[in-house]
Amino acid sequence: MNTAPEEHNGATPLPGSLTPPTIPGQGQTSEVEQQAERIAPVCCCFRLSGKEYFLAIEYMLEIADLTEITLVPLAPPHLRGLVNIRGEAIPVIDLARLHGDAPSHARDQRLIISDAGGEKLAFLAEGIPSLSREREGEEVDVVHFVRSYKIGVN
Amino acid sequence: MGKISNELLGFFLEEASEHLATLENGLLQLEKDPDDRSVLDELFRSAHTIKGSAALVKLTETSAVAHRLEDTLEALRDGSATSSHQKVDAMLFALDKIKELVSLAASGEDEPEGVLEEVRNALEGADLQATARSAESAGSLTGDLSLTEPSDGEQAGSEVSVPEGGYPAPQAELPDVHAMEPGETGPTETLPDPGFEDVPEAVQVAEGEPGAVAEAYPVLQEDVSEAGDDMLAEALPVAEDDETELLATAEPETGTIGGQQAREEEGPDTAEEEEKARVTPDSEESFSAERRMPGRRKTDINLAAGGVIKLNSLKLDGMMNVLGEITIRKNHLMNQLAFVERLREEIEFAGERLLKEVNSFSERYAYSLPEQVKFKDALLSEFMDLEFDRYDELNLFSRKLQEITNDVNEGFRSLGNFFLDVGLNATAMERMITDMKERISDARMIEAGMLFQRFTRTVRDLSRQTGKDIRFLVAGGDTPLDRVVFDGLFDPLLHIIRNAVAHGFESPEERKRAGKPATGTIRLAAKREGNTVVIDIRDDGRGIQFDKVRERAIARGLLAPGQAAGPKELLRYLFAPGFSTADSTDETSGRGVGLDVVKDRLASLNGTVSILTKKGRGTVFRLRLPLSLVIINVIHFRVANLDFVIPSNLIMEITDIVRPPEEEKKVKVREESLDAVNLHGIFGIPVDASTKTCFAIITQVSGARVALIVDEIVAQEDTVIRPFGSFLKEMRYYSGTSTSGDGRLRLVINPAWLAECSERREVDLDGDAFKEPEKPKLLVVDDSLSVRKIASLFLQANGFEVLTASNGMEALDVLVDQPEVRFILTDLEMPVMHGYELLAELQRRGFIGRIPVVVLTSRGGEQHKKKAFDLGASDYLVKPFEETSLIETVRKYVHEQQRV
Repeated sequence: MNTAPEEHNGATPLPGSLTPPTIPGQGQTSEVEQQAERIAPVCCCFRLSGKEYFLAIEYMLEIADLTEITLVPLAPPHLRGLVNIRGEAIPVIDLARLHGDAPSHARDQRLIISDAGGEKLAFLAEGIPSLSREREGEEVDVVHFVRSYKIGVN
Repeated sequence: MGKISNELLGFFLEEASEHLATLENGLLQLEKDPDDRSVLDELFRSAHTIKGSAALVKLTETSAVAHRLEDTLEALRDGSATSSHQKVDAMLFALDKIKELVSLAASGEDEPEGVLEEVRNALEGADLQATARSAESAGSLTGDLSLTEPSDGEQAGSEVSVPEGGYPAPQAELPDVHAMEPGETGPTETLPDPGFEDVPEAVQVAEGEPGAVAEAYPVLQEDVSEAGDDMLAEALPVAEDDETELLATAEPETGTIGGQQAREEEGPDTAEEEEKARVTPDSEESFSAERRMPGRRKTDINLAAGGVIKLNSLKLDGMMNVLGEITIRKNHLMNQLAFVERLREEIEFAGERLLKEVNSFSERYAYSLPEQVKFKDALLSEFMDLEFDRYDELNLFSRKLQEITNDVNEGFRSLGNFFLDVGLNATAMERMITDMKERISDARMIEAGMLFQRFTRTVRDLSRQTGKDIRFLVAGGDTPLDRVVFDGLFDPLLHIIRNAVAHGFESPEERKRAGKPATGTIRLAAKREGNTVVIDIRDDGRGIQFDKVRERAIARGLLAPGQAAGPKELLRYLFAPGFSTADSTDETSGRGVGLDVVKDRLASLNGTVSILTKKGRGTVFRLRLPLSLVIINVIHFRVANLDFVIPSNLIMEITDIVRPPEEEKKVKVREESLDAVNLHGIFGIPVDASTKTCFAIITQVSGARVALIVDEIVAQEDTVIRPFGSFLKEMRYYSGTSTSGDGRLRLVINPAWLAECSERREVDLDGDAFKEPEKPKLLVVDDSLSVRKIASLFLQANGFEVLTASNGMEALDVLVDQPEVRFILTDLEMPVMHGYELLAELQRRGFIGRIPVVVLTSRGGEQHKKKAFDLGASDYLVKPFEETSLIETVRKYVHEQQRV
């Protein structure tokens, strides 16, 4: 809980740091080199029910607190419901349910809001998701996800 | 760069669709009236524009085809060539090709090659054919050709006038020349018909011959009841008037009844248009049969004069969305205002009491009472008590109190005025938002006529393909439709019209045998009813063939052989997926898509469809849609604690009923037995048995009435419905979401699908699917309100559901109601039943061991502790408690308990 503000204001380096590693002894790097080294994080890593997932950064929109979820009767279990993010109703996806894992009872859950071509999804995540340069765990391919798990496919 | 060209393409597509429509209408008009120069000019301009802008966005093939079309039109315009059916056909062919190319471009595909070649061949072929024909039959066919291919030289083309009688019906020659299109004569042949028979009658009645109507009306009414087909009246009680209209349409040749056509909403329209037809010479009259909207050209000019700008409808949608957001915020603000108002009243009440107290206090003590003045001031000792007012502390305090209270009172008054002012402003804002909403809605509106126009061509083509003569009439073309409805209605209408032609109409011979005119009539009529639009598609064909529907239903296993099914039920089968009564599938209808598609589309537009039919007389498909799809009036209701809304235009009635048993499929509302859709049952939510009454929302679903059983009707409100994105699009039980004033999401019920779901029971009733992972329930027992509140807050924030009780007795009551409590936190010192007693009672009832009980008390003594543990407490915490350790303890025990 206490670490949340730090994560969000971005003042402190995130794990898998955003700042280029400084190599002692080396002088000033050229503009080009600096740009090359200022490597952006490539993905957003998160956990849910004991599994690691990551989401490519280009599809990531924001991390939101888990607010009230509107239940959708008759929906498959992996659709936890809808969440209102600034007036937009976004489906909340529970990857644990989708993969048949035990549902998470973690107390601080957040939502990772993704956007693939205007189609927004919110993925449940435990704890604080981190931006990272390392791809770890299972990839959540958002574009593919919409296509293969949207309602009515099965 | 890519973005720029994309944007350009967008502009082109927008422009092109407009010009393509102009071309299509113009060409059809040209076919009937080949010498209308203004039409030619317009056609030429449109082709020219398409050519130019297609080249601009590098659609070379499109541009080339348009160029070829432009050339042909130019030749017609300057008189170097003349129009003919073949030529119009070829030009329509070219137009279709351009459309194809444009739609390919719209979907981002490359232009195929060879299109130009095809078009050129077609156009040249038409030229050749026409020349050959004119050469071969120059003498014998003057009647027909005088208007298309005058024998006295091509130059005269534009001057040829339409002979008396409009368009002379081509006789047997045509099939010869044009063997591949046997139905070609269809629309043309019918032209004289309305011009010379119907029209005068229609005008007569419209101008005021009540006799004719009055005479015809009772006869028709009788006709209906005699026929004994009470289904008409039953299926759609609203339709009584239109029924006669339908019959009237079915028998145009029986004088008086034919006049009936002009009754009702069509009356003025028809009259007006016929009036026009009479004023303008022959040429106009010949196409008045189609009763198009007032000429497109005219509208264009008018619009241009009004300073019109073109606007992508998406931009309007964007504005509407923002306005929707504003509406929601405004609602929220109004709610808050109401809350503040209540608060103000409370404060005012308290303030008044305070003031009264203080005033009476002050009055008593503002002046010192002589005998109470204990303190003797030496300086004043010479005064008598009554000679000098002396003030003590109490007097001063009371005065001060009075002053302060007056100030506070003044403050209250200003505050009241302030809120009054805020309220007035909010109301004014509400009015303006409503006004703005109407204006934007209005800007999104498109006249129904624009939609109907698109079917002129369809009916013409269908008529040719099937060899059935069909006349196409429209009415109420000025009825405004929402842009979304406009876009979404094309397919359903097309489907219904195709159906009507394929199944509805008999062959000309059959019609003659039945005593009907050989020419069938399809009529599209739109009208506004309150906040809904009603669109009727009626034909004067044979009506729905119930015996065939029955056969099909049996063949498809929907109905057991020998099982009785009333017309109402049979009509419902028409909406079953893939249901078709066509003997063979052909191009006109029956491609495996049935009316279910129509139903789905209408459901997605929050509309309904119903059928009205009469054997031998015809069929009416009635579509009912909301006027605006963006801001819509809804009823907000609840099922258990879930909130939903349903568009109020789908609702026929809401009534409270005694809750029927869950498995009950029918519910009786005012002596009428309706199909019940029990939302508790469908959603798998257990019913709270204590509620005896509930509400039935009666809605119309594909012809039949259905009662949705819900718990509570909350309110009626205007809201914005947002359709789902592609992820949820197939979740068809809902048509989207709506946000309430306080920002909560509510699902918009789609009754058509829910009814189906209830019927088939095919859904997985695994209620688990939508339950939140259950939060462990805890019980906090403490006589201190603040302890209960603080502990509850901490625990709730950490994912527990918290129940509270203020003493042991209450705690036991809670346990009776909520046996699923997983953890108890109790104080020791409490009134009525203290903690030790509670522990003992829990022990007695067998809860100890099953539910962990932790004591939270301010008594830290060993003696107290020991007694608690002896009585079965799992743990002992001493107040003041620390948040984290409390949570940790609770978590530990809950987890342990979970494992058990």
